[in-house]
Amino acid sequence: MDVGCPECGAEFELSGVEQGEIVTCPECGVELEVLSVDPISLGLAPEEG
Amino acid sequence: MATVGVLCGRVRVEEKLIAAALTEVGVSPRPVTPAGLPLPPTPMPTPIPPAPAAAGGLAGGLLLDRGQDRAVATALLAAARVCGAIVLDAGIAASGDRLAVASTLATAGVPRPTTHLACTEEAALIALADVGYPATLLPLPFGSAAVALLDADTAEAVVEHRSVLGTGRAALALVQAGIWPTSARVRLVVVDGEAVATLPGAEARPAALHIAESTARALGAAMLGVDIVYTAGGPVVWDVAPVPEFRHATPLGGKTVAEAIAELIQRRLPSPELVPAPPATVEFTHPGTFTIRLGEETRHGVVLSA
Repeated sequence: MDVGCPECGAEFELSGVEQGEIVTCPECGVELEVLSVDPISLGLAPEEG
Repeated sequence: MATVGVLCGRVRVEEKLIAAALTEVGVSPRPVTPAGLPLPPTPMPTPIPPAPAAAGGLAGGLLLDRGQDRAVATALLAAARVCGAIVLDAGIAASGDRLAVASTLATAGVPRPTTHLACTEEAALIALADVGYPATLLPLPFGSAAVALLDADTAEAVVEHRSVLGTGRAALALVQAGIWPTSARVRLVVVDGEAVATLPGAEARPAALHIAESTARALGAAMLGVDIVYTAGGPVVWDVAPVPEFRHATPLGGKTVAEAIAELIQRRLPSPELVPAPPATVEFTHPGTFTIRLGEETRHGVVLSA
């Protein structure tokens, strides 16, 4: 399904992911956390350190 | 078409909005990422000719600060200035920290909450006892989350945790009276001295606009996010944001934040006859003497050495 990057607003296709998984926005490169899978929602991944 | 560098680690919604507004007024935006920009730390690098190229063509150009990583942005902006770039940023909020901003605003007479700088665990607890509870601990670097302290027990635990587990810098913090959730604050975005938009939160009253604009002026900020809270004693500046988000902002007048930034850039673009600077060449004609050729200009010099 198509999802939107909360950082840059880019739309991209994402499927087969699990809650808590970290994915990367193909446009801006930010790391995103899969917050829920049905429907898929994304949030900025927590930064390390 | 004039080109403007936009310093940003990632092109987010805000940078896309700025790029669209710039294109609309005939200015070409060029994302400048920290990783792609080696810069000399001096205005006269050796050898001289590569300076403009090493600066990514920024010498004499204009750079807009939208850097998300403030530590990187602060260093890079300073280097860009040395290379001759005109930098549009949040002034002291871009190059300094919360302490520098608090001090500057206090000196300028801009109202702020009662604030103490705490350098140690003991100092923090004394400061908290003075301002009372609830209070807020604000780490000095922008972007670091504030910690709400509801009572003395919580405060002691938090302060001890930061002191023991953090780095030396983590012990430094501002202690401010009161706690103000985002929903109770007014976030105003000021561009070129004018409050142009507000973000969802408390109502933006005229006094808040005036204080936000005074804040930007005191800090020398071309653009700035200002958080204002309404205390019993009147509106005060709670915090500022050097690179504010504005995707959900509501314009206060007839223009958006991105449009206001584009207009500011149009006004500040260096005149074409000043840029780009021609590459200079240095020729050592005799031992101890040299000639610099900069465009059509030629200068001779003598080397003095200790």
